[in-house]
Amino acid sequence: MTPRSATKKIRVLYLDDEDNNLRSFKAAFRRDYEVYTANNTEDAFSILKTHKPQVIFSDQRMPVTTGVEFFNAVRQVFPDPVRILITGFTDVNDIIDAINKGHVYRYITKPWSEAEIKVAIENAYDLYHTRKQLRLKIEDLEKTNNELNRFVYSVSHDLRAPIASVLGLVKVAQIDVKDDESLELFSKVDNSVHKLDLLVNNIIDYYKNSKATEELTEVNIENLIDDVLNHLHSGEGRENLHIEQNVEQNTVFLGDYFRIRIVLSHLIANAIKFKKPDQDKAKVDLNFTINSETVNIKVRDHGVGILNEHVEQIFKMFFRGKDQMAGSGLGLYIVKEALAKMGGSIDVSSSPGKGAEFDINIPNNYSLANE
Amino acid sequence: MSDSRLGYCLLVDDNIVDRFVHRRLIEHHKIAGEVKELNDGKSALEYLNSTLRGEAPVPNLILLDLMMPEMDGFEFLKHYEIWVQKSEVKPLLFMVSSTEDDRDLQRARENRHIIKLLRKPLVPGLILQGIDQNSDLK
Repeated sequence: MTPRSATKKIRVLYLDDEDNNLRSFKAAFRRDYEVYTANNTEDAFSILKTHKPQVIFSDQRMPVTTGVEFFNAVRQVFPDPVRILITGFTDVNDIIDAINKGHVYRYITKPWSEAEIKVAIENAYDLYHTRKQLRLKIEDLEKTNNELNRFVYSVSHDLRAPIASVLGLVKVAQIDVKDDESLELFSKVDNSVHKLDLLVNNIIDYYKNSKATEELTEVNIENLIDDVLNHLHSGEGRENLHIEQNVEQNTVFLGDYFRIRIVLSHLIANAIKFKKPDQDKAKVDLNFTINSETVNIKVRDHGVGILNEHVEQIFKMFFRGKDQMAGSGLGLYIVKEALAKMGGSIDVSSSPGKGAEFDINIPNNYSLANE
Repeated sequence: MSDSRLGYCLLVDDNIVDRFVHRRLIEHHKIAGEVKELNDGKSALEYLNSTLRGEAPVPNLILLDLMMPEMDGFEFLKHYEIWVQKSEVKPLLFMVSSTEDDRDLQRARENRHIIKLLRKPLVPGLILQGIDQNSDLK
């Protein structure tokens, strides 16, 4: 039994159209519980509002509304109190229906006994209390989770500024420093800081994707590709990239712009990272086919490709193909998660030495919005 | 320096290291002949207003940081709007920021005074490209 302080009695409301029943109920339980009674639903609702009872009893057979109807109305406004129906045997079908629909926690048949009601109140309160605790815990967890995410985001955000400064300084050093040994060291600094920058960016993308809401806007492919290029880092910069794009569009594309941007950024960054050593520039074919139902994006690179045994694994968190390849192992995981949030999907086909093709499908929300 | 692409460049950034980096990159790539550094939007605005009185040269190029104390980049642009109507020279303006927020990219695109938002570290080639594409504005 749930422990509770002796001074805090359980608050019970009893609704019945017969005043005699109300009087005997009150007389029987007033010492143990804080009992409120009402002989019509209007009074019952005003008691619910002011006194917030944890357990409600109602008679089933009343002139204007039935107990089940009353409970159904109550739970729209006050979902927390536990509802118990008091009824004669004749209403069995109504009761089964009410319990199955979740309107009623349990029922007690007339004539009730004092002991039966007491047990019912205690059990109902237990349930009330447990549910409430659970809800508080969930709220607590959600709050902690959000704070943690926000913290990670703001730290990552603040890290970006000094990282960018260091990368800028290295650029200046590569212009101004003439000594070979120092240049070599600067190029190593550059490399390491780029990895750090990439990791920070992945964390930021991960956070952005973790937020539940989908923000739908009209997606302009030109702007999208421009933003994707803008999000590339100087280490994986657009100077290392040649994009062939082809857009077939016969309708507006309404989608989650930022998530789509994240997906393409990671795939194109990968194309640059995994170009063949003898390739001067990474070559990427981008094909958009935009229909009213779905948007298909094919991202084809001509790089080193993916080993067969890795194809199944590349979307897993922290998976990294080869140790010498830079990366956090988050990129494609974020891609998959972002697509899952949009109700989309991704497939990959590849053979080593022949590049990889990612086949993405995203629902076009434009048709859904106009139905 | 007569062989530079543009004459006078204004760097508006509260980060002294980034100002140093941007100055060196602009000098090295001969993007502008002369560079003036300012710490925030407010002092940039004061500078621009002094050009209307003929007290200082009007910049041809402005690199504007986004996050700055007192007056940030977008706030500055609201006042810039008024200044640019009075000015005879319309500078080429790039926003330069380490921002990761996609909304900033969108806001920058919607602002007609910004040629482009460039992310730090600055890629000088993108400024040159932007200058070429907007040379009719010069």
